Amino acid sequence: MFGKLQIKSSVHLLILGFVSMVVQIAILREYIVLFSGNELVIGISLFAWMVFTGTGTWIVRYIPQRLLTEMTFPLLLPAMSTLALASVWAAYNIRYNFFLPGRILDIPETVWIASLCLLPICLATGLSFGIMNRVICLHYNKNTTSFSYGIESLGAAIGGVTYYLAMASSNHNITIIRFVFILCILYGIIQINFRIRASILTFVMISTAGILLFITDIDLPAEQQLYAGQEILANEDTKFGNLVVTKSQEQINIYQDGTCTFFTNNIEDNEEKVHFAMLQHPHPQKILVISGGGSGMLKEITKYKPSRIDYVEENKAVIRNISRFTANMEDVINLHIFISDPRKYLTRTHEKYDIILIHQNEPSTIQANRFYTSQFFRLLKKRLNPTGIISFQVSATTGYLSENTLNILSIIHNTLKTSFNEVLILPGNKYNFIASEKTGITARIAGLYDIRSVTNEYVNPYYIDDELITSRSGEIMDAITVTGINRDEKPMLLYHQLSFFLSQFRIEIELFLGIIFFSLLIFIFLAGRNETGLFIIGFTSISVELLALIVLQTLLGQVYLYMGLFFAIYMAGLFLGSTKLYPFLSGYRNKKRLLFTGVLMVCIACVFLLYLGFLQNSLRSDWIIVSVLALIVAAVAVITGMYFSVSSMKITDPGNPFISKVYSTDLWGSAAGSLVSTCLVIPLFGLFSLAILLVATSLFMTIFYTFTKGG
Amino acid sequence: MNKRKFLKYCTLCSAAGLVDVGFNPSLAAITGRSFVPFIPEFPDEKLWKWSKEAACYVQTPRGLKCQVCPTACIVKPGELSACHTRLIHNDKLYTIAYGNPCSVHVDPIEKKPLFHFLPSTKSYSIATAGCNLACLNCQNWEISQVSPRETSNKDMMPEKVVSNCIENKCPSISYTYSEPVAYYEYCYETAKIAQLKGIKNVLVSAGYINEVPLRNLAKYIDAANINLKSFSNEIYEMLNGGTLDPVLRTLKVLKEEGVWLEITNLVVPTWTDDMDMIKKMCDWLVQNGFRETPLHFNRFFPLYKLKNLSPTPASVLEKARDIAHRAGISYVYIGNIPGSTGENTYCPKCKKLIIERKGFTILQNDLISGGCKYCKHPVPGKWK
Repeated sequence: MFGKLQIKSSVHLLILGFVSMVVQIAILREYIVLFSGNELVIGISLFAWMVFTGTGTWIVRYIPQRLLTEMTFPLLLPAMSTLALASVWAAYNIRYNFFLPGRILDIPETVWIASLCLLPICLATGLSFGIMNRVICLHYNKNTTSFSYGIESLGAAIGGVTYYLAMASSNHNITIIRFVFILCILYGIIQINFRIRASILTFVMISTAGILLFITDIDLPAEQQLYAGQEILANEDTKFGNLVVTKSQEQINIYQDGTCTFFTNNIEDNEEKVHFAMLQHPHPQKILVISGGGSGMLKEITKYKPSRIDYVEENKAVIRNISRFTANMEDVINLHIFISDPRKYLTRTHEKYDIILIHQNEPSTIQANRFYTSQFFRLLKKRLNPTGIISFQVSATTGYLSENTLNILSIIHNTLKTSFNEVLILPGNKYNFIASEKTGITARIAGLYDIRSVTNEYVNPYYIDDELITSRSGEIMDAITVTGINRDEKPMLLYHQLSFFLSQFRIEIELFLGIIFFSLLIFIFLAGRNETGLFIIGFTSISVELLALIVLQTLLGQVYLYMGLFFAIYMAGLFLGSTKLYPFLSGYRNKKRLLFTGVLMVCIACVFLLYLGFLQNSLRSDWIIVSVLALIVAAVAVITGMYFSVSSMKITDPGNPFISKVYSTDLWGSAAGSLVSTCLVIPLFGLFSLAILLVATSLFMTIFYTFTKGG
Repeated sequence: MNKRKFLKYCTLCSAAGLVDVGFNPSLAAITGRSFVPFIPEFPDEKLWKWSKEAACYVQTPRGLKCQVCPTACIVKPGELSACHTRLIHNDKLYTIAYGNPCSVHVDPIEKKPLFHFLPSTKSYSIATAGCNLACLNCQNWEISQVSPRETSNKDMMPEKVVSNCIENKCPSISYTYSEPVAYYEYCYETAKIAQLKGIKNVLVSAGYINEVPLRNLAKYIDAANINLKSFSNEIYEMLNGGTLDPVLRTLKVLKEEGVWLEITNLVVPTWTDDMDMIKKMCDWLVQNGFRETPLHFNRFFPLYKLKNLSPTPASVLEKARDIAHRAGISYVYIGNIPGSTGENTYCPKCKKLIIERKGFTILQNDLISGGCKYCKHPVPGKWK
């Protein structure tokens, strides 16, 4: 059935899909470290990746037909992998040679660096697909785009699974890209036609450039810049992100994704985190620490001689490195360490605690936001004794309550109030939240210190003035306004945290969101009729995929574990839909209407799932949640694959240069979907609204194809 | 109607609808945030209750030039000065930071930090929005890098500040948090009234100010803590958006004017932790008559735009302190490290501990009549 070229091309496409997926994940993970990423940075990088890749495929139409030969195949993959190395090298060098040391980048800077560095590799990826596809089309004199799309998706599925299962746990991202480079060079050597001098010359040039980058310590000079004056003790990429341990003089610093999350001898912070809450309890015996215990909090807790300290940390690399490089967990008696997602732990444990201390990142990502929601606080309350107390901190300028800060404090306060009778905000170096069911929580910390038998360096009457702290706490509590509640399904805190982040750069969040929204409208407005459907289905399917991942993350907290699996399901669905299942549509006249009806059903299923999962709280079994989400993702991917085939088959002339535009449009739709969903709709309106938006969009398209011709 | 037209009309309708919804107050209720774009409370060229004609400015062929600080802004109509507090109205320069502090707190004087000035007392501390520098590590960026019309302010004219200070039983008023140079006129008028009422005035500043306005203000200032951010012009430009020389001149002027002076130096890893630079700074201080001026080395924490750095290790501050001592500076302190002995005062002559501090509290005070109890060596300061 397959000709020699088609088999050869299939292998190329399969490897192309594999390589592009692996380098995409590896590069994006490096960029998160480089730009100290939050949701915006991730969204921007992913958006740039897909837009440029789509553009790469789109420009194939301008390449003269005589240049489109199978001779280019062995050159494309080595070129791509060389550019992947160059992309990381360039990003690191621009970041540290053109910007001041230690300074975070603002959004326009992130956009232009990410764009500049991703442009070559993404264009090469898109061009590779476009060229391979058109060569096959021209050779067989028929449109084989859906076949190419399917095989490339299959390669991407294999790449995604391979990355997460085999590579991510034990390797460095740059090592992964180097491995891919070797693979591509070897493949190029096997495939190249040594009789053609031009091919050999080009191959040698590409390989030389790649080898030069390969042997260069791409990230070492940059690392030395990033951690200037510090000795790097460990640097590993874990499934939760990059973890670096450095030593500056006697001080050990732990960086996660490029940001210093804690360091040794941080007396003020550790004492505030522990004693502001523990002094409130007359006899704290059972303590739960959720993340960050290694910073020195555990030693502070031992001052109360508790009978049990449970410490939950989701990243075992953190525990390993703290134990190896610091003494913060040595001699902590009655300590029990659990490597688990904190929410999972709270659901499963039967222990009841007197004090629960939480040390989580600021809620500027969906991952972190799940530790500030009403559902999380409800879980905490269930695990507290009746007089138990919880405590955590939020950073902000403590001397002045800006609108952003007040919004953040108000939302957290009001969300805590859904579970706890008493909530107190104590200003210290950060804002300390203390909540309990019992009455009598007080801001008079120095007074409490005098009656408890602990000795502190900082939280004591020498530093803490009860009158001043009571007065400032009172001012904050009086300023708290009526706001919405931060929920898993509506992470409104994320929006305000992003707004706070952008305000550092004097960027109004409304302006940022407005630009995204109107860019989207302009594209839809200018697109052709065939492209509109593709764009919207790309938009919808990636949004459903992201929705599924966020639901998974929120309900199970195991997104890293399942991400590879879900990528694989999605890509395999595209493969099946575009190559195997679309012929089943041959009997239907209005195929697009049928497919959009299918998407509509999937989106309605999403709404129903959210209703059961978040409002009814009736999805209690992990495997049911995973199975249903997997089914939803598979369904939307299969439909997208089929839709792609139906759209591409509209072009019957294999010489038509617009063939590649179909692929570009699908990618552009996906790019828009990823940015709009993660940066706009979810933070602003929540998961339900996103699902309803998707229902509305697919319903609109169904009606559109019902009342217009050409479906 | 063909597909393309159908789509176009639908897109336009939905866009119009969404824009309408976007500005509908009901959306604010849904999102918890107003969607109305930022509208200043008044156009740039108009004044408000908290405006006053600026103190030092001159008409130049290029426009009105502010002469308060070395930035020397030539303010354009409809624009604000670099410190975010000055604008042009009817061909005159006005400040919009007068009587409208956004931060008002009562703080221990040691928090400023001032260790040799009215120890263990509280200081009534105020700030308006605005600053004439743009430090990447500013801990108060939410007020320093914006104009007063962007912050929520209190209505507190100079007389009210003084009466509040008296009401709170504070012996001093501190002009602090953001940058008093940015609210120069407010600071000046308040200090003048406070002096008449017997209240001391404390300037907590980066010292980036011109000589004439500084000398005018210094008449009413009793103590100052000047943040000497580094001893390199290049670092000043890159990290703070200023220059070094005007700050050094400020130190000299304040000393000449008889203002009690203490100096703070924030040790920022990779930026200002070069021990050679710290030595140069200490040598300059000694050579210019600041041997007896207390010097505070403070620990840096990653803040604002300088988050990709580690905090300063305690031993780096210890090293800086040793260098300062060796250079001949008598009173060197370490800040932001609780429990450090670097908070204590030792007699430079007999080396004995004379003031033991813990936080904002004095545990032991062996000063008698402003001198060491053991060797009678005078310890400079305004102790009462």
